[in-house]
Amino acid sequence: MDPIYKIEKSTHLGSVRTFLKAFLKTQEDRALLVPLRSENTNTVMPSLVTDPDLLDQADPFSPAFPMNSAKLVSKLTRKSSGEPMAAFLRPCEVRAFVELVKIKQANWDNLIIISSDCAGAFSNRDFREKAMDGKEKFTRDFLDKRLGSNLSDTMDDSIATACTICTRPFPETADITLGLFHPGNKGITLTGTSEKGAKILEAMTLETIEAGEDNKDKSQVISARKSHEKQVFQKLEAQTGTLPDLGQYLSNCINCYNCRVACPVCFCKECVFNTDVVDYEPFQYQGWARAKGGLKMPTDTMFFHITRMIHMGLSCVGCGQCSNACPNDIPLAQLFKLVGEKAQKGFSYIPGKDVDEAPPLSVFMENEFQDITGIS
Amino acid sequence: MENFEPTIIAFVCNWCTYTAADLAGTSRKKYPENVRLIKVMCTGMVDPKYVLKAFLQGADAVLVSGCHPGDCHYINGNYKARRRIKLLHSVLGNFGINKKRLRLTWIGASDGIEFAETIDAMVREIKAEGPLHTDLKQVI
Repeated sequence: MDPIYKIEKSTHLGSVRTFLKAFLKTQEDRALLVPLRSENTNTVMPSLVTDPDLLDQADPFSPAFPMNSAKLVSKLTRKSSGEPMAAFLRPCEVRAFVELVKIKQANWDNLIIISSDCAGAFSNRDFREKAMDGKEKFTRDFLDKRLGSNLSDTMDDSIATACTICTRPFPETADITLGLFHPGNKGITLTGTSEKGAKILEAMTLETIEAGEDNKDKSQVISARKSHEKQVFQKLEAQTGTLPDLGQYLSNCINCYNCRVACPVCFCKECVFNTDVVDYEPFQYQGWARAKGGLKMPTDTMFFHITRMIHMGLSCVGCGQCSNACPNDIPLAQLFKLVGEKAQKGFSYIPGKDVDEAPPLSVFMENEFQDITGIS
Repeated sequence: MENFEPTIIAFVCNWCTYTAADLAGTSRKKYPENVRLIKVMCTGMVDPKYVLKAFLQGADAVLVSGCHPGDCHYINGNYKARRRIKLLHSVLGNFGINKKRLRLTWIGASDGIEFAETIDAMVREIKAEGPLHTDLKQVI
């Protein structure tokens, strides 16, 4: 059993900052990507930090989730820079990162991933409206409230839908895992969950506690989330069960493709919807309009969204950034998660779990899925 | 509904099912004209987008048909197609396009009769299923 370390300051934020500073001091050559609060604007943005003093502004527990940082870590690791780095990621960001490692758009070799139990996040809009002025105090209160209510969703209606239906809020794959989810204190526990992570923690002089002490029951949180997710999905299925229904659901779409840009696992380097495949001749539009009597413009909305489901559904980690990015508030996250999870089930595939598990469409076997061929 | 004539788009591979269709023709074996054949070199090149676009542009059903497992001219194209069809079944199933409307079959070059029977059976099935209503304005 790996030792579990503990840092206890007067607030969770204090504890995590103490840890991150000590981490960066012992790992001098590493740059750390971590959500950093801007002194002037109070925005919380992922930042690549090399100066430990700056970590007094680190705010990884803030309910700000401006983007899925897996995309940033991909930018930072897709080629070797020769320099080691580290990244503080939410569990869904780690999952997206794992998916990108599989398709060689990111690399874990020279990287330490630190992840922690996730209390969820607001949409960008809600964060700006409700949380930004509260500064650091908002993070502290938010965390106390969320941890105090067992991450229950009924307590806070501001949490993004994707977070309320997230059934994997606890890190599964990381080098160093931070535990927040234990009652009654402001401490964080630290576990080296990979060989390199364990080595780093060992080299830092930290207080050790006994394994398993005062950890809350995570399975309860997960089962509550699952039943909530089921409700959301049932409602959604009733809303989108046919193509015309789906058309209604997507009726505010202006084909801006922000959802695609925000999606961490929409992996194509050049999207087909940016190519001349959809660069139609003007007369074609008129033909389609005549066939239906009217044509919503821009067209190909469903073609775009369903194609995206086919492309990234199997890798959907449920981070909710598609909803976050939509300028017209189309609730895409639950739709993509619903469709994605069904597809994943069909291939017994769990995205973001294991870098050695091949994406389903990259492999095949001779004797499989024989039930899908033929006419009954 | 009685007069409903479904449109079926069939992506058939050059080496097996297209040849089978050809054989059906030269053998004077009749099959319904509801089907529009699109010859591709291999079922492994049928991009899921082709299938999706066919549905959105008015197809009531889509057939993808190629060589039997082990017979693929390109060794393994049909295995890749099988995974893609499985994914499509799962995704399209959410939006009312059930498995009857998207079929994958293996029809070898000498199976002219089987080709005709397959199309026959599919047309009968889709007539019972009814139109997909992609002609509605909401479907874009």
